[in-house]
Amino acid sequence: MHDYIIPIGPQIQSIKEPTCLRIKLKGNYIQDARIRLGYAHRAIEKILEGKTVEQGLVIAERICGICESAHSQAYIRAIENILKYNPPKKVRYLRTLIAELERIHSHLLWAGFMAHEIGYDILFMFFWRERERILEIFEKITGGRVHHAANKIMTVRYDLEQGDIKFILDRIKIIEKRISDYLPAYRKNNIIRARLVNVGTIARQDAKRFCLVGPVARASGISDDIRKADPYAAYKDVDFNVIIEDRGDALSRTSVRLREVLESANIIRQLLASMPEEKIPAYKKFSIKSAEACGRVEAPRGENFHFIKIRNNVIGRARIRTPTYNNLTVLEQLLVGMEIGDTPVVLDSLDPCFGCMERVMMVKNNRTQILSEKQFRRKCRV
Amino acid sequence: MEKKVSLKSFLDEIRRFRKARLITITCIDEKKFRLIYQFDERGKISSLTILLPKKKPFVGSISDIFPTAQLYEREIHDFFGIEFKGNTRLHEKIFLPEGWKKKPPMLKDLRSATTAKYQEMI
Repeated sequence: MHDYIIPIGPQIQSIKEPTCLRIKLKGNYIQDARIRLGYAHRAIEKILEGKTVEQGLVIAERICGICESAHSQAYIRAIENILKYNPPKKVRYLRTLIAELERIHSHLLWAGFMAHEIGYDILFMFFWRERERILEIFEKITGGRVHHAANKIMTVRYDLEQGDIKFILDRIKIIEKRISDYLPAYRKNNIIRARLVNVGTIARQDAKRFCLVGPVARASGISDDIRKADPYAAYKDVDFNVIIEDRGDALSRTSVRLREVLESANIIRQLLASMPEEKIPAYKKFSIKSAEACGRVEAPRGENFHFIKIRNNVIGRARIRTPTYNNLTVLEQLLVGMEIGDTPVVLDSLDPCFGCMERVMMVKNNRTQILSEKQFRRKCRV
Repeated sequence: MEKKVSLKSFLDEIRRFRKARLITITCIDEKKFRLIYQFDERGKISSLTILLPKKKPFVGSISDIFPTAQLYEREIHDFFGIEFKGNTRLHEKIFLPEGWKKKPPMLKDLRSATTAKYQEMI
């Protein structure tokens, strides 16, 4: 049998986001995998340079469509570290509420994709139906279904109105009930098990060596959660467990995420039960001459890290490290020796978010394989 | 806490963080290049900063101690042009197109329409 190289992506149905995997095959088995990025670059780090701190927040919120509040909270945490400001209890509670709702939304969205990837489309629709409830909550309390822009430096934009708490609790109750039903099905169903068990296994030592974060690390038995290790917002006040599984395969990663949905619902219930009756502080102007700080939060996919350097009242350099970029190193190693049919499942089980990750620049031509714009136009004319 | 180290003892210094988790490598273009290696040590961020000259900057690669560093080093090589000696896949472009001949795009002296206005301030 011949050896050959197959490029997968950048546009392909089975991988939802633009990336290119070059896979070297022998028969049906992968010998080598190389990943190529840069298809969704928007130069966010460069755009942030020269913006004021308030303008920077607006851009930071738009890095990702799924973990929008994770980015704004990491950015705000960095700025508030510089200002040495500790927000009042109500602000901390509302920020945590948004973050946890977002975690449920992200995990359900991912669980749906995973079900779709293994050919179980009815489950995909079930998960997305439950996710719709979270979007309804977002729409009711912030006005935006995807970009809710709830966080502001030193304060938040929205308060809960009368009836909102009941509205949220009703929907959380439905989600908890449904996910508790789906979880055993996910674990026991033979079709799902055949596609997920022992696929893309990451051992504990490897997870540690590759510095993995988030649910991917927790599925390999590493108890690593910024919410516990370096608490921010209201995570000190609520009682929750860090979900850990030890098999490290695609099924563990799935069940870690689904169990985290239940844990997040638990956190939301605690927050709403003890929501303080304070007024939200008004936005105050501030100025930072020059400073540097880091801020990090636990995004749905893992640790989200922002480094901000301010000089002459504007941002001089921003470094944003998203969890996907960190977890991607392991993918190339993980694919070696697998069957080509497992590629989408392995890639999806890491829950990559390329819109989040690729923040730098330009896509033009890949000299050897893809035509340049000029060449393409020339071809079109003929 | 930050402290400055000479290039020779740099890899030995990095090995002291072997048990920590590498968060990221940040490169800042100032009078000199500033590279910050940020680690997570039991919930606390520790960082190690080194300064590199503007002319032909190079530093040892840490990708054999932390495999994740391979991606960060390639990214910094793409955007700032810093050489990491010992990184075998350094010249495989990760974000920029193959055969990129122009200046690395994240350098501060590279003027673009959007940033020209603020260039003096930064």
